[in-house]
Amino acid sequence: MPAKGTVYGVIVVLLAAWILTASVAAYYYVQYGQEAGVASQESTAVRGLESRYGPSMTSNLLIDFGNGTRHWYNGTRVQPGWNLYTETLAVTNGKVNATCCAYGSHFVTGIGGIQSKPGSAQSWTVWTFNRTSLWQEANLGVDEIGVTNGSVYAWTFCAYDPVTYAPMCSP
Amino acid sequence: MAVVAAFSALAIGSDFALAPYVNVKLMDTIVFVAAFLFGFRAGAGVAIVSEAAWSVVSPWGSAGAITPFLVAGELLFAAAGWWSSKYWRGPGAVASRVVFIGAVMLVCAFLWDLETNAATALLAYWPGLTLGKLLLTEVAGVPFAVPHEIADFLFGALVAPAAILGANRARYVRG
Repeated sequence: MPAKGTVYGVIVVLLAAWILTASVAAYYYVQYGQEAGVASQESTAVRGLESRYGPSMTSNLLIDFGNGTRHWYNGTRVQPGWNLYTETLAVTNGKVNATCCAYGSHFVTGIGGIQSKPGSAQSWTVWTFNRTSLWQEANLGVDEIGVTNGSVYAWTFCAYDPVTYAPMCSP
Repeated sequence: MAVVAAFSALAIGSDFALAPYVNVKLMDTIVFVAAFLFGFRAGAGVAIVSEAAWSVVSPWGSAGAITPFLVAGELLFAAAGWWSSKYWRGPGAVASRVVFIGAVMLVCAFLWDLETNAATALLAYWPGLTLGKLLLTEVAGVPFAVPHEIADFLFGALVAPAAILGANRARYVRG
């Protein structure tokens, strides 16, 4: 039969293990409750914004990689305050190379691994679309082009005129 | 008296050294060791003197009205040290039971946190204290209790047995 001291020791160790487990579980519960509270507040804030700006906004974006591959990202959910750079980042999962921000806007040099190289006469161009004038080369920086509900934009990658810098393609 | 003074000075000094680490204290272990080696009265003396002094001189600010509850909670470690010495005394026994002592310290830390959180609720909500408010205060204290329990377990398993063994050896050498 084990000594009384050993029996007490085992009991205390078991009690301590239970207390530690319960404490860690309670700690997790407290942290979870706090995170859930923050998430709920943020969710309420987003719902507030949606009620103010509309239940949801969607935009359409074409990316023409210049190698025969074209992707339409139709019905992309966008949030109030987004611009075309933000939307491009979102639809490509961040696969955008850009320099920042010589003229108050990002200058995009690569999308989805297609990169304009120094010295080459190929670059990315932004296009806007409306029903009357159809596709037009954008005359604003990509950060300055706001994305709104139903907006249609395009990116093309192709050669440009070395004198006028006009792209030699269109969407 | 000398034991209480020496151990209390050690406890308060270690509290200052560990002040940046919230709820990591050697004081609990020192009270436990004092009671283990010199009996409950000596341990209780160290608990009362060191906790009462620390409640006033702590760099985090004076504890105020909760001080008696902190001191009462610290007496748990003195009682645990005295109780442990009844069963786990002797160099061989202490060395083989480090986990037991660590576990005792963890249980005491848990009870200390439980009691002091209850006291916090009592002082904060009296006379409108309800069970819900008490539980809320206890739950709010959990993030502070976990490091306290783990630290006391480690100190109890590592520092306390080493101190007890060292003290026993010193006694033996002195004859």
